[in-house]
Amino acid sequence: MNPDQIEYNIGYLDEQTKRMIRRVLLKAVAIPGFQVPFASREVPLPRGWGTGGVQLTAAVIGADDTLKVIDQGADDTTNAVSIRAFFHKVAGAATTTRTEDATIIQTRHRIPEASLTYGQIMVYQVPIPEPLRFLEPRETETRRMHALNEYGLMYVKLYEDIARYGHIAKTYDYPVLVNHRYLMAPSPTPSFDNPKLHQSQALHIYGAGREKRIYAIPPYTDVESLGFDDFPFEPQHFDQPCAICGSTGVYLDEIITDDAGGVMYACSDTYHCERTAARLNEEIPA
Amino acid sequence: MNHAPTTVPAPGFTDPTAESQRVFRAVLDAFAHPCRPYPIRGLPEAPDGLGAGLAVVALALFDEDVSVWLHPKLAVRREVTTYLTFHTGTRITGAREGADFVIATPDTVTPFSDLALGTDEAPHQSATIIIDAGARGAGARFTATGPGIEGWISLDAPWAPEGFADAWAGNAALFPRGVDVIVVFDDHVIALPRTTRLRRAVPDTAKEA
Repeated sequence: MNPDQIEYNIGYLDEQTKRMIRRVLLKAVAIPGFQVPFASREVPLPRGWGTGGVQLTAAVIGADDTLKVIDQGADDTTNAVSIRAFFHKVAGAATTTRTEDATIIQTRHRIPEASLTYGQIMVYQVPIPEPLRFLEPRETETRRMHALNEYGLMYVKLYEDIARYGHIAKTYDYPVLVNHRYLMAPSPTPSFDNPKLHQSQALHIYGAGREKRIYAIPPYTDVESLGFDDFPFEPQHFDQPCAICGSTGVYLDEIITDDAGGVMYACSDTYHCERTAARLNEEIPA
Repeated sequence: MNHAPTTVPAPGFTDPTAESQRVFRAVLDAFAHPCRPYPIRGLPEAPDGLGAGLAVVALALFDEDVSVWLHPKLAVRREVTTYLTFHTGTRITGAREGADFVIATPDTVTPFSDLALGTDEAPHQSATIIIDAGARGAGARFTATGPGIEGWISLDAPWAPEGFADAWAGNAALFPRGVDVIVVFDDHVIALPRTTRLRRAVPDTAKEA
């Protein structure tokens, strides 16, 4: 063996760190939507690039897991490719881009178009776990607000949006109420994906490395996006189909095509797009 | 010469990294799907009082950062305490109220009120009770609902002590505070996180009345 080669523990993190994260994770699942503090460790990527998600994945992954990593919806971006390669190397886990084959899906921040199924774990990389942070900067206060179930401030914010713009202007990280109790930031997931959290078959776990918080939504849990009776929550919707595969009812990225204002809209979920386009080609032979 | 009985601990995991990951995933799945059994591979060499299933759950979750309360029959057995401290480094405590984990038999599960229940601001700082299902309790059948359960699920609980349904309802009323329960069999685990609601299942004969 090359003496210069460093041997890492399987899953990269040391066993004690994994146990610490695992115990936190159990409490997070037991109290849906509550942010449990944890001792965030250094991992070989900078904070802000998904250190929370990487630590969660490292704590749950085993050699029989199949990992999919997406950055927005894409499997082929630098961060997604590197994190997949990382866990293939340090945990011996298989990797995939196929949503239905994955047992663990680490994401920043989209939820795949294909419905998630029983046994799958969604791991989210979270920058700001506290939904009230921009309304109340003091952590001591926000903790108390969660304890007292005091979320009036968030409703005021949504009301002010309506008063100012005529609609709720938040299109990502749209606040949700988990299991009728905890206000939760679903990470900067587009509000298009919010309805997928409600009564999902998969377990959703959220890791904020820099802010040192872990929280979770168990499967089959009520997740309500906030709204008012006369201004209910409205997920984003797209009028046009994907320019590549023709899918409708999916989340689209705006792609600038020239310097004269030309744009096209294409699926953000690259796996969904490739699969649908391939099917289309089979049906209509060139 | 010291003739005290030797307490060389029984062997633990042969592959700690992989085995503790598998046990943890079973426990995580159990928390995510309350009342559903998830298989674990127990350690047959584990000390008698502890049992094959409890041993692997302990090895997977305990270390020097947590304190553990053992039910009295277990606490007096040197081979068990030595096993746990040698393999995990966990702090064994006699104080139930401060323990992070509580290993209980059906008759030592309740009352919950003398356990750490967490606070409104830090509900996660509550005890996790690990029930040894090897010992039988009064037994009961429940219908369970709550997060992680699609609709409802029935739970046959031979390990449940007398009055468990009432104690559990009291625990649920504390939400977000409260204890969480892992029930450990030799070859599988089930979990009852604090969000799970239990209702005593009405026997078929009683329904007619």
